[in-house]
Amino acid sequence: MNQKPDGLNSIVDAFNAITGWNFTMDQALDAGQRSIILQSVFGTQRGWLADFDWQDVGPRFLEPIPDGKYKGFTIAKWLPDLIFEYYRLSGRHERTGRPFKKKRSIS
Amino acid sequence: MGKILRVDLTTGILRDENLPEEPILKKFIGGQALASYILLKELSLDATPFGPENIVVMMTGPLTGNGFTPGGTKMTAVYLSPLTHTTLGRGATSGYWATYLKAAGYDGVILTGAAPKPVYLYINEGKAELRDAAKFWGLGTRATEDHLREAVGHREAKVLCIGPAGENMNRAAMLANDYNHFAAHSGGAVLGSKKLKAIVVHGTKRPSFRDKAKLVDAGWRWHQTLQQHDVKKKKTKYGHGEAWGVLNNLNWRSTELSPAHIRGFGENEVVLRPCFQCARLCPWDAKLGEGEFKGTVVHFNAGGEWLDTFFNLGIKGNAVLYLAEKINNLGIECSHFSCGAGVAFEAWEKGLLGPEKTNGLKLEWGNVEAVDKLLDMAARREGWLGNLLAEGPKQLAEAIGGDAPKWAVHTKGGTPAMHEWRPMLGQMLRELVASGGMKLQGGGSPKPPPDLRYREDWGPLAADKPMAGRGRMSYLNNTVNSPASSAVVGSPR
Repeated sequence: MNQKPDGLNSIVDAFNAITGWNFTMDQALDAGQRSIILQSVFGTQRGWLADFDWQDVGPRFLEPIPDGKYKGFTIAKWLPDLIFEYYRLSGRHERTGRPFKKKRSIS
Repeated sequence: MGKILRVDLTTGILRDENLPEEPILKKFIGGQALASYILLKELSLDATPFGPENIVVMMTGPLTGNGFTPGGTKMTAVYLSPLTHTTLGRGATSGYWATYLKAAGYDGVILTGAAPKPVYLYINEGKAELRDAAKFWGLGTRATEDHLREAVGHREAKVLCIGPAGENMNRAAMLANDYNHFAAHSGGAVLGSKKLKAIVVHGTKRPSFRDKAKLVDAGWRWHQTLQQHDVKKKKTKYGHGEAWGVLNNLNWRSTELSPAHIRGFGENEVVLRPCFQCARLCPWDAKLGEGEFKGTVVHFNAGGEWLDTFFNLGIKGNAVLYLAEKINNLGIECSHFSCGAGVAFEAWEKGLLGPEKTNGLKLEWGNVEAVDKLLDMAARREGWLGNLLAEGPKQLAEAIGGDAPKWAVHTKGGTPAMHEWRPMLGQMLRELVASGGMKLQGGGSPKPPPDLRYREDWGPLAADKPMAGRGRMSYLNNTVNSPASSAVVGSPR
């Protein structure tokens, strides 16, 4: 009871206490990563492409902020590079979103 | 080992199945990850969102309902998304329903096929049956909960249900449970296509665990990380967007934040409510104490997307809370309605839309009566406009034509969580890459827990850009932190 308050560690500890398993934080993080990969596999099989994430967007959502303290700011100037980077670094093809086999296995 | 209930709605056959074998559970744990694994294996490649071949997999996590930790309250449902037609649709909910599903003997439910007439599923102490729902079809989510609890004869039974929006397959219809809780992003529409009005659960089975002392200790440490909600803030705050100082107004054309937005909130009677075994107290109820709708009782969860939803249509004050209660009763995802109605109001302002297509409603900013009626039309697909609002902002804007498609806010046909995210790079990225055109849940705080270890310290943003630091932090938080916690507690990523 003397440990400092913590977020994720207490969740993994509770998980281990319930299941009797001995997961490390990395193993728990891997399960989350697999969930993201499954999501990509699901979409890829049905015609989704990562390109839709920046191409199929209502234009108003990417317009510069119309007024106030953030006036003029928009994510648009970093697109699509930001999305390419997100997919590339999380183990997926930047245009299709298809997971690369070598990053992590899912089954 | 846990059990899954498989329900074939076409034939009415119910079957118990074991959870997948341990090696699979160790890979996917529970929640969205495990539900997605099952869906991916079972869903045919030519399935359509509203066809009987679509499948809904509802899954809890190992922590759900354990009784010693906060946050063990989640159920996540996955299916082919009616918003995008190509991506994973996903909704998650808290409250008590998931805990009671486990108490009734099941870790998850798989729904296949479609019932020939409206039914509800009743699971009581390990026994499940499909029952006729004819007399509940057409009811709002509140009355459905009340009447079904009465029908099964257990006051403490918990109800997950759809409202008129789900029945009429409004593409963004939600699942509702325990009054204050909703699983958004189209689960309600898919249940409507299967003519399944509700799943009622009741039971007394206790969860099992291996090491009670360790669980109690972990639960206590987790408890200490909670930031409890505050009644005062429900009376003085503008919702989530206030954190970075902007609200949605006039179909995303103004970020104004003025005292008029929360006029009358201070006079409301507010009560915070818990989820199962959680002292964070996100849900809250209020009795309106001011304005035209004085006396109305409203039920919400934390977050406040439903505030920006109506601010975005020019409505302010307690009328916003009245309309938010109504949208919850009908069961429509608020951003889907707001981004669609926003386009319609802007088209009215600019002369592209007239009363012949609005069932005579005047779509003037701030017209509470028009929005009130428009909600009913959207839930039940009434008229040209109601039907297109049920389809979505993208479809409505294309049907209006002219410049209207430029005014729509959507992501792959779905809609972002209803806040002014545009100054926040990390949050914007999160909305754009979300699978079902919907937000990723599980993060939210720009600050990671102190024990979080980053796997990849990366981010493309310069520190001198507005909100870049915050955006980047959220970016990391949502790509690294939330997946782990979500798989464990049974919530989505």
